[in-house]
Amino acid sequence: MLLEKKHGPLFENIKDNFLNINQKSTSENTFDAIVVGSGISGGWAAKELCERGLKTLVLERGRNVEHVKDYDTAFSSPWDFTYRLHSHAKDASEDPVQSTTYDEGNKHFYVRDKEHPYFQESPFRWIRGYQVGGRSLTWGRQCYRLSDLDFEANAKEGIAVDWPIRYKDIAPWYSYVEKFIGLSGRAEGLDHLPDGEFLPAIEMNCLEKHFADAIRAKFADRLVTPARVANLTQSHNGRGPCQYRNLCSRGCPFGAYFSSNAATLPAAKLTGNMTLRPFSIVQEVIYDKDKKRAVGVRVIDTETFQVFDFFAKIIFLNASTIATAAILLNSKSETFPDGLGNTSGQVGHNLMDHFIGTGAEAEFDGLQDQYYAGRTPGSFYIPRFRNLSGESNHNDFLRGYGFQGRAFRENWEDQLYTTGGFGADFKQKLSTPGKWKIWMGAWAETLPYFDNKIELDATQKDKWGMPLVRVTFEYHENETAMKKDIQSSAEEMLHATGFSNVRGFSYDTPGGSAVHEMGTARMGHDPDTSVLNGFNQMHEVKNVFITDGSCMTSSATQNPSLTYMALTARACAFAIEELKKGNI
Amino acid sequence: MLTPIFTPEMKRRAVLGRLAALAGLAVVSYVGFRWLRLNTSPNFEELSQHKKLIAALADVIIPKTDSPEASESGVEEFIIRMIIECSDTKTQNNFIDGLKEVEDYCGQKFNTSFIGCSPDQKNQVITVLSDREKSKNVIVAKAQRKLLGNTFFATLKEYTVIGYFTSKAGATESLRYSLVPSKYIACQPYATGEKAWATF
Repeated sequence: MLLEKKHGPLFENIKDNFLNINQKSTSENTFDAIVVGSGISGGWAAKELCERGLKTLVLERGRNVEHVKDYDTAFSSPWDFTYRLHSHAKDASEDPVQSTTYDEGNKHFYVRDKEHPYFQESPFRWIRGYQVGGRSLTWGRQCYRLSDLDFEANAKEGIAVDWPIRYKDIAPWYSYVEKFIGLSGRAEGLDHLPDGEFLPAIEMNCLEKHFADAIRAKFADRLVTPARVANLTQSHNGRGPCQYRNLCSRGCPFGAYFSSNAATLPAAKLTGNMTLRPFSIVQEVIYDKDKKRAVGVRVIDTETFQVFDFFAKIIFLNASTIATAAILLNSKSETFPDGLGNTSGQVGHNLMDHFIGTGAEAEFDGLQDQYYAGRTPGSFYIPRFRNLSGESNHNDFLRGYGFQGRAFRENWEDQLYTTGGFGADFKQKLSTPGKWKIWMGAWAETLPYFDNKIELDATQKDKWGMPLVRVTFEYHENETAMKKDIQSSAEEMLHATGFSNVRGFSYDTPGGSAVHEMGTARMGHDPDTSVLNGFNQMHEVKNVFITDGSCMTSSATQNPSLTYMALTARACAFAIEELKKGNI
Repeated sequence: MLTPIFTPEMKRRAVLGRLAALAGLAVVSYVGFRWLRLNTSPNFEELSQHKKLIAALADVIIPKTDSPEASESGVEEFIIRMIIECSDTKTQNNFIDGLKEVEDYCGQKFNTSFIGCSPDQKNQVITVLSDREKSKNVIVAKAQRKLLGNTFFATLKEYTVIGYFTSKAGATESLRYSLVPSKYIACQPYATGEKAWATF
């Protein structure tokens, strides 16, 4: 209660902002802008459009989640949970997909698989959070800028299509976004992983520091840096600082990590220009062939099943990579029989995810007189070191990968399965910290393949009448070859820096496991081969903008949310200029 | 010359072969029997009837020291919940059978129930169970677990430890727990014996 007083329930008057809209009047249903989705990119679109004076309707298919008030488990201790946060067979059978990512503390921010079915032509984990704030509540918070190494790669290598932007186009928008979200990190001066507007980094623990020093000494081309995370190491824009609970994915009552709920939506609300409507599934974008533009969206209320039309001058689609493509494919008209703005036939294709599950772990025999206090929400990061130029070039694959990892002392749970016996000695051993261990895994670039795609099922629909999504996703030779190199480079680094019992691992984690879906409505120069132009504007429908992960022309290695946010802010500024000029 | 000539070596192999076949059959039929038994639907009433026994068994794994014993955290409730709601049928049956085995063993050997045993006798019983785990080859153990479910002792130990160290008593008295650490000290000197952090 103390916290609520301190921060104030930011959505206290939200009910006043909900419209009980009916079909009576078009004017009541008309806004300057509509934003579909309230996750990490939709929140930014809402903020930017509202702050620039546009009356904006934000549509969210899930329930409302108010900052602080609806973080039900934020102050729960392990013993408050029925299953003590222990993953178990019941969840695995009820939610075979979502349970691979959630735990008892944040399960309520994930969908129930049975209520939201989809087809997996090949195994693909579609992890979803249907609520206001979307997956910005549960995201990993790691933020890295892309560079021209990434933006130029497709063109240089003849892969897919060229990005229509370069680093200089997005750099100021990275800064703009970073200053608002609050990003902790350390400047390293790397061209291929540009520095940002950093708050002080979260310190690495003593084994991580040892590892960083040893890597610097042994590998001229590599470095270990504190992960760049949207966790506030100091108070920032009225939020934070971090209390080092490492319970971020339950929602932070201190607002100490960036989410739509804690940051962008309150900013949008403050303008008085936002109308937020939860429980609203967008079925399709309504296209007017005479005006040659989209005029609005058709929405079904998830609770009442009533259907409404909302109208606006511009529409931002931020429903997430797969859902945005599904909306486009479902928006069929005389002009666009295969889906809105899909004359290129690219909508739904080129689905990417970073591939994870390969790396190494090891033990460290020293530092038994060192420990740590508090729980860091960060990790360490090893920026990409393959295929940068010259000596780092690797013959077997294109692109590269970065490692995330952490060092820690074994706790009772780590020691449970390796400690035989029972009784007082056993209890004493589990009550004290065990050996130091290190774990690191790669987040690796997946190339865009046309055949990796989402489609709509021809006949089967969900209970709101939306066609079910079919996902087809497979990794190819480039990823397989990179995987081998990831494991051997991880083992090599741990062997060379004084670790023992080095154990490499390489799991065949299905697509979607990194929760970095991208690419289903890609940006490009040419309307024949891409869906969006360099300002995330649909080539064929100039008043529709798409700035969620579906816009990505390649996946790069970096965690992508920061790029979605920067592209969103940039596209909003462009859209408003175009509106002013009367171009859209 | 039609009579086959058996060399001593051939005879030895034939005999061994027959023995192996018999033994194989025995193993198969035992496994088959066990498998059938393990897949029958478990009688959960046995668990609530044996709540005190489960608590006493857990207290041998996590005894009272300068911090509470397992049952002071109510661990038996957690164990029963995990077995009923979060374990496969084979593991459930192994556990229920294991409770009976413990009682039979104590009856035959000490002429009393497990709860009636002296601390030393209790230790002897748990040692027998614990030693069975020790002798196992890792691969055999894995195959066995897949085919026959978790053993009684593995389940007892796992749920006792999880239940205890995630309880308020375990987390705050056997370990150090902080709901809001408020700061992060990345490197802090550690003296041997100091308690570990309860959560990570």
